[in-house]
Amino acid sequence: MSDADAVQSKYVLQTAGFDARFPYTNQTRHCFQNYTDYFKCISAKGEDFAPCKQFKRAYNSLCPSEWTFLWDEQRENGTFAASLEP
Amino acid sequence: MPGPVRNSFMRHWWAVEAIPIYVVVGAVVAGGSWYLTRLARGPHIIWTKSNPTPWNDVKQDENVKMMAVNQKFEKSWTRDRL
Repeated sequence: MSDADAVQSKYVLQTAGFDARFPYTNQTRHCFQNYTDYFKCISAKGEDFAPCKQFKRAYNSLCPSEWTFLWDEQRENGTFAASLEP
Repeated sequence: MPGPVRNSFMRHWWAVEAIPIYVVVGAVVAGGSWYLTRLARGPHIIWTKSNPTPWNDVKQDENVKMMAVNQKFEKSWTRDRL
């Protein structure tokens, strides 16, 4: 039990918080917005800018991994739908 | 138009018994158009290319829904620009 407690205290379990822009059950746009915001943040501030991680955590929580992988491929191919310029 | 035809027309088009119909149909039309404009002004509707992401104007203390059941919001969001 103490091992489980130790492991549990090491990891903080949380998900993307409530966003008033997307109050409904359909969180698709929330997912997409966080995905594009993360890469815009990266291109504006660089890879090591810590507050960008907030977007990354949010889209990892919200987006199905199929979408995430598909969009990663699209970004590499240059066929991603949205502009990732800051 | 001859006189008698016009007079009988004016006598028959306005029927007092039809007032409830006018009231109900008027309410439905008004309510429907109010709801449609409410939908059209929603944050998820994109009208022009100059405002491609209207939902980004919603602040975190603003309510978008018609009625908020379990959450407290400071104010309601209104659409400022097209």
